[in-house]
Amino acid sequence: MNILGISAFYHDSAAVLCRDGQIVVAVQEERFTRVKAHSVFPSESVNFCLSQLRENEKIDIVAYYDNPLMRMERKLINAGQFLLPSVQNLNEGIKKMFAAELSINQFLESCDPEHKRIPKSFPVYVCSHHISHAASAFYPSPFRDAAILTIDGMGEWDSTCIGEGVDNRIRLTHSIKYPHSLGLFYSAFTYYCGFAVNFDEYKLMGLAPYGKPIYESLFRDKLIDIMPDGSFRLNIKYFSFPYGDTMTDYAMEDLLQHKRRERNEPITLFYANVAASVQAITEKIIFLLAKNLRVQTTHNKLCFAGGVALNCVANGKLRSSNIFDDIWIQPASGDAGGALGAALHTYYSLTSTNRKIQSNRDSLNGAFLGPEYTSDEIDTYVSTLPHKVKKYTNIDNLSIKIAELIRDNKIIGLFHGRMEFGPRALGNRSIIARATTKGMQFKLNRSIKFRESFRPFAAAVLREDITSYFRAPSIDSPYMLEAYPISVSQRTEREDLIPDDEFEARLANVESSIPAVTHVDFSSRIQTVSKDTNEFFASILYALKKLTGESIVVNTSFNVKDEPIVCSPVDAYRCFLNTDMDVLVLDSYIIEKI
Amino acid sequence: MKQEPPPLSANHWIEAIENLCIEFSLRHTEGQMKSIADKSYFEPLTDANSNIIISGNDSKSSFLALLTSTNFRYPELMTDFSIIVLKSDLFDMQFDQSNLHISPFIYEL
Repeated sequence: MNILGISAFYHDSAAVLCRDGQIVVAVQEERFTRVKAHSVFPSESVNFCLSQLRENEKIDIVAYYDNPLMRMERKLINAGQFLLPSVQNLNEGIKKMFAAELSINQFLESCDPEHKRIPKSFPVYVCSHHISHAASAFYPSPFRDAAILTIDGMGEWDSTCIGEGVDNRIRLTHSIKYPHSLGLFYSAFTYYCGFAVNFDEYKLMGLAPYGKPIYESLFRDKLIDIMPDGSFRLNIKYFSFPYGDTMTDYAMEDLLQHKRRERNEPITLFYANVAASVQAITEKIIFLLAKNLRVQTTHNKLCFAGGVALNCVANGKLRSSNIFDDIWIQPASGDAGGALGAALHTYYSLTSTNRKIQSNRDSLNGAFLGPEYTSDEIDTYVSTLPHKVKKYTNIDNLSIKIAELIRDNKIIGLFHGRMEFGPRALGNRSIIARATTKGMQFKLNRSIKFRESFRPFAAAVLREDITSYFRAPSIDSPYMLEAYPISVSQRTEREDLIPDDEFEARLANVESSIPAVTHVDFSSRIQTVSKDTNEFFASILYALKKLTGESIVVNTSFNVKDEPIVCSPVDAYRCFLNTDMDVLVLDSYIIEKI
Repeated sequence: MKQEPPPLSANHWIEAIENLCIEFSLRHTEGQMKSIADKSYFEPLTDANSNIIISGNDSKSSFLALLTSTNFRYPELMTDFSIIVLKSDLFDMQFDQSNLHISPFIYEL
């Protein structure tokens, strides 16, 4: 049975192809259209999925990740409550429902007008938004049974759900409903601090360690009421998202006695303190929800999804708390992952097929589920480039050469194999550099990524060496979803004489053996690398270890600020040219900028 | 071709929409920050787990397929496939694929 999963029309559209419950393709539309978090119908992603069908295969069922009618119901009730300001929103919502969500058949018809791959008549199954998130976390997990937690901005009505998964069935039992939403709470302060909503939440998380959570009690007193079981309620008086185009307004500014930051204004310590307070509350809620879920269910493992599950700082602390024996988080936890969840939930709902579970190994194939390019395609493209290129036919020799370039402090664009599904580059569309080089973080931010200088970089480390560098459990963390403190032995503590609001200087002042991946609070986002999930990337790290004794590199996504991760060789080459990157590795070619 | 509207009109929907509005206003009123049970803000989920099939060949028939399968809590709905009218004792709302019309007394809420 071939199921085409689709998420679209809100943010980060995606399409997924599942064959008999196995994930064949998962890809986000932004990677093709080159518009970050693109919300259009994912025509190019659908076409890519169709191209991966075998000869004479067709799509049997289409699964959509959200119930448009329930979403409209929320808009109707919202309009009834907030009157005029939200009527326009409702009007647009209704138009969108008819012209977009309920017109999936027509969109698909335009993808395959001759019905070679999609039949003339086919069923479209609608899954609720949070079931899609829950399914995206449970079905690919290596767990036969698990508690399930989903947290995001909002689905149709729900913003947080709890439940369980057993064998091939999932069941969500309770929810917290819009407008009470931890995702929207986080997004409201993303907006207040001058970043883009549904886009820059990770920047708020990156800013938090520069501040102190001095507003936590004020926020808990005035903005959010948290129950012992982690459920919560917002005081909507201070938030404007139910009735307008903004997330906060004068009420929040009055409360904090401070104007909202405009995008190009300097980021001061005040906003860092706000970010730290919001992060502290978010972590508190996730902890309480997990603790309650552990007590309420008999499961000792947790599956976690929804946009809030991308908060790697909270995730690392959650794992370290040992509330659950093991945790599996969907790497494409945002709406893109909904396409995957909808496809899998529909498959297991319609069949009584048992899941194929491999102990300690998920079914996501390292998230390398997107497009790849053949050697012939790469050869043809490289032959057109006016650069010094060298082809390596032996992968070991290629790995050694890349390791030598890292040792020599070159910044390398790494393009190899199938592209990643989800927001993280995991070695196939990555920019990598030496983690032990002081000043590398600054150079990457300024000359390669063109982004804010306060932002940290993630580390990719050999799986077996994680505890050598980090105070972390000895675990597989191949999806870069958790942050941990750097081992005390890797730090050099020194008196901090730099003023609190000089973020760049504070970051430069942090001393560790791996400064390029050390955040101002000595934490780091980690990806563990092993031959099981990415043989090529692992071989580079082994070669580097042999050369230098280091089995860790900086790993950041192969893109510049506000652009999607590169998808094709053309995208990669363009990014290589437009930055100060030294080397481009295009499959088996090394291209140097000389 | 004109078809019969779906059998969705019933008085209890009016009560349902009023209750929904009250419930919704409770959710965002400062004075109601504390949970009713004072223990949890979680609500039981009833209909989130099932798949719903929509097989319509166009958006209107998909809409009706979805409407008849979803626990849509709206008081009254009439449609002749060219225009859809949602009615309650609080306000009327009608829309086609491009426009929404809301009767004035919505503003009296």
